[in-house]
Amino acid sequence: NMGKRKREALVTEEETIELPPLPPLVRDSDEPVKKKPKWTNKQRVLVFGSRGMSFRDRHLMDDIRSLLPHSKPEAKKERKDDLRVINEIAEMKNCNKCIYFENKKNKDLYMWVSNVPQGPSVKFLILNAHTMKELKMTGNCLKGSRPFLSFDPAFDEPHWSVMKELFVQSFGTPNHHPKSQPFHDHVLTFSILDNKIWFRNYEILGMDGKLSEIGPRFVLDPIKVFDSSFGGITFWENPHFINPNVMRREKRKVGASKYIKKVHQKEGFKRRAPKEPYRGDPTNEIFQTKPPEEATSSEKQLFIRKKF
Amino acid sequence: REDLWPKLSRDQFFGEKKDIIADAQDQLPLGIMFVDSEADSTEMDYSDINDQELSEDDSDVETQRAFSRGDLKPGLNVLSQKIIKDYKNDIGGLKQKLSEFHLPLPWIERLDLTLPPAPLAPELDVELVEHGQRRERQMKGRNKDFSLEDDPVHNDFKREMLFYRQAQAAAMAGLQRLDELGLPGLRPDDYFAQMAKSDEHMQKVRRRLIQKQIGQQISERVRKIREIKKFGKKVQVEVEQRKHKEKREMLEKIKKFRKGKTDTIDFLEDHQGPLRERTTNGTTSKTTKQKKNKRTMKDRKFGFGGRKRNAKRNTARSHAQSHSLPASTKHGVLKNKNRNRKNKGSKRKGGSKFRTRK
Repeated sequence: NMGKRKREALVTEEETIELPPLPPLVRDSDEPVKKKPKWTNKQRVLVFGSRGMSFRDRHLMDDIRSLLPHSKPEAKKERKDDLRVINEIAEMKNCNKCIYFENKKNKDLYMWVSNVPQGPSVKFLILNAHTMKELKMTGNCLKGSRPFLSFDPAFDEPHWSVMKELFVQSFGTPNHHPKSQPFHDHVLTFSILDNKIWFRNYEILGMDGKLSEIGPRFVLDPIKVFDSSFGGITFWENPHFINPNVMRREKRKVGASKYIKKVHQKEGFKRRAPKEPYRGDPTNEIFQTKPPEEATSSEKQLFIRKKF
Repeated sequence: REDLWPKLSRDQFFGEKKDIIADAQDQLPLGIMFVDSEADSTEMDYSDINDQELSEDDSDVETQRAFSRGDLKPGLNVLSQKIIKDYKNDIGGLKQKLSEFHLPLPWIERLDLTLPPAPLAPELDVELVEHGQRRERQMKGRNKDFSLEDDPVHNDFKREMLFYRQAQAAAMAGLQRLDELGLPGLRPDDYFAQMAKSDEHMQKVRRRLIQKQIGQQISERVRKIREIKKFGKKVQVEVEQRKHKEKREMLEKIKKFRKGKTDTIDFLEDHQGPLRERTTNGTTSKTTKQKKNKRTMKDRKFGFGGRKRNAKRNTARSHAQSHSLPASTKHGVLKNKNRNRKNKGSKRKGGSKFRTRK
């Protein structure tokens, strides 16, 4: 912990803020570790992913790990292993929350957020993910500072409120956590728009409320809310969720219909096309006459009345 | 066919259907079965209706009924399986689970805030409008049917504004609550600790921002120079044209003078100075000409002691001047051609080329 501090805090005036006393730089290993009585809300989040994640997904996972000082990393999980294994891994690491990333077909990224021993779990599809390293994200915050969690008032419905509680417990840094830093200089935003959860992370620049975007931004499309961790009965299914495979299939079908229609058209024409040329009815020509103006030399005789 | 239908009064039609059907069936010619969808009891009147019902498929009667109702349309109707997906929404279960795992901690432990977005600040509103205008300007040239409501870029901007305002509202409320609790809020400027993004990364970000700024400034300057050049070019062209015009006019006037005209060589004096002097002067050409005429007249009258008072009054010259007929003046001009000349007499053409022999 102490090695990670780059520069020490300079507390010049006592009247401005009273910071907790800094721990000494060197400590004797025989000394028992001092208990931290103030840290009561013990949340530990296991953040890891499956094998086969792309670089962008990995960076996103790393960003979340850096945002959450109460997180614990873990090695990649084999995809063929069952999801219930995660409960055991979390139990071994003494974590009571878990954020698990899964990449399918190298295209879609899914995220599980679950309260590990008995609690509910939610599966999301992550869309439009941007990491902290993008140069358009100009803000910066203390590593491990406790963020404000801002929720849309639309989080009142029962399924949204379960997700809200999960987010508060997993994304919110516990008070007096040993790795946390004292000030509050960033805010995590969860908004509901178009039946999806939009996540943003802003740095608070001043008292007047000016913000600058720091951190990862992504859109969570909830799929199902389960009763127990990584399984169990489904409490809620999202009726607006469309499987990405289905979407891709529909997209391809739109292009295919053009070809299929052309084939049908050709077939139909073959069937309908007459085999013989159209032969006119000879009786139609009986009453066809030329007007006298258009009559040629021999036909003119018809119209010339011979006076007998 | 309307003539086959029984002629019923309104009461009969809307009254009890039982009797109507019986009456109607008697009136209709044989072979035409009058089927009424609701009157089940009337079917008992017919002898073979039971056999019919037992032998036939119920679906036939059902389809007939559906057709009479208007649910089925003529043509080939195919039965298809309707897949009704039942989406689970166990509200009771959700609420129970929530109560089970919810942690009733004081606010300082959770730091969660549920607030609607903050009101739109005027500067943000201005930015939004500007963005819309910029997008319109950019896209109107490319595709004709471009609407700002469907533009994804502008909608994205509006969405981000919404999230920004929500975060703003939460930040202000959170800092206020911390202040009430007496806890430190924002990070002070002299507090240095490990940040989420490294210093090198922040330098990269800063460099990119500066480059963008410089790029914008350069493009602005280039645009301004282009505009000034355009304007300068316009002015230059104007000046040239005016010069050419003056030259042309001058030559025309000289030609006229050579061929004979009233005004002698006053137009030479009328020649205006260079453009700059002219533009700075501000007076019109007409007034200067008038002034010049006045001056020359006065010079003639009073300059260098003025005209001699008792000069001959009825000379050939005064006679010529008084009659301002075009024909006489022509002659008058010819006669007095060398009036104002220094050396009166014929001057040989060719000038200095022909040297007089001394």
